[in-house]
Amino acid sequence: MTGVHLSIAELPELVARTREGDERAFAAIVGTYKSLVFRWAMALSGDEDDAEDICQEVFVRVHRKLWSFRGDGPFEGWLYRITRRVAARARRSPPPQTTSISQEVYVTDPGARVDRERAIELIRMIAATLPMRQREVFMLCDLEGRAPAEAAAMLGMKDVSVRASLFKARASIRRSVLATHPFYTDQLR
Amino acid sequence: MLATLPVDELAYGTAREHVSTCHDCDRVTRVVVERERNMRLAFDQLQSSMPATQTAIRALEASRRRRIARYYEVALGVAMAATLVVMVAVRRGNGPMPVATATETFRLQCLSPDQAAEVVRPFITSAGEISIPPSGLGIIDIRAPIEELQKARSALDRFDNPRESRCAVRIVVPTER
Repeated sequence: MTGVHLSIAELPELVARTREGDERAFAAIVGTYKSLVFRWAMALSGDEDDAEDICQEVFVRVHRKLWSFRGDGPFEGWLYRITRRVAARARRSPPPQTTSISQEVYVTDPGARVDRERAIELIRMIAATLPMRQREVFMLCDLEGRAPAEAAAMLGMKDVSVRASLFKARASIRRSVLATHPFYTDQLR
Repeated sequence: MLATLPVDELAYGTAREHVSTCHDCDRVTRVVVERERNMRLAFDQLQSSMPATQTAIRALEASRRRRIARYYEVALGVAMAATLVVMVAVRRGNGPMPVATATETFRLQCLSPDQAAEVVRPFITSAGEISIPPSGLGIIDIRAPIEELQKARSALDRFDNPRESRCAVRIVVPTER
């Protein structure tokens, strides 16, 4: 589960202070949610540069639209909807070039540090393998560890639809994993 | 089951009990569990290359710029609306757009100025004006739109013509008794 360091009590105060023009409060919100938004943007766009741009634009919109956050739902859900909209707008520009899945990705070494390039490569693999809806569900449930009901609320979907998409996404990802694994690639031939 | 179960259940749940007795399922499950855990780890470690403070500063600047731009847009919209309102008000106040008019003085040959005024009056609308100078010179001034002025001219040509109208001078030849 991705870590968000603000307590439930802190966030409303930061939101209120940001609305009053406190830039430090806004910087605290950015500091807390930046990584999360960046990961969402990466998963939605499949491209690092696009993700940086999306991330930047999301926080511009957060600052401008914070007055419209009523606080009756989770802040992350509101933030995710903004990220989705910004990513959808960014998708209208020419798609980024996806690289093929390299065998290096599957050379596992549990003790080794998973570096940035490898992480990006994995995200690209997910982006290339899954349609958008399945990608979102897989990211929120399996990569971030959210419950399907929470993901359903964030995506504005029914719980059962989220589960169905999640099953399809897992099946696709696992097929892809096995199809590119050296041992099973040989067997499949 | 292998295709759809969460990775944690594959590693520890009932699925694990099954795969412990099945060599092929065990191998496939291990690969899947390992890959998906790595995937989750990689995703969790994914960070933006730009520091959060820089993102916050840029976002604040962009937000400020857009707010100012929004003010300009609103102000421009209000100014345009005000201009339109003023234009409509001015147009309504002045009535219809003025029509180009011309003034012409007609020298009458046989009709009196009053008679000539009666002749041309049907052709002159409210935009025009007929005036008779008090000098008694036998002239009439007509100020009217060009088109109406032409109609008035042709009417005067027709009725103020000594050869064709009633006002023609009749030569009376005395008859011998």
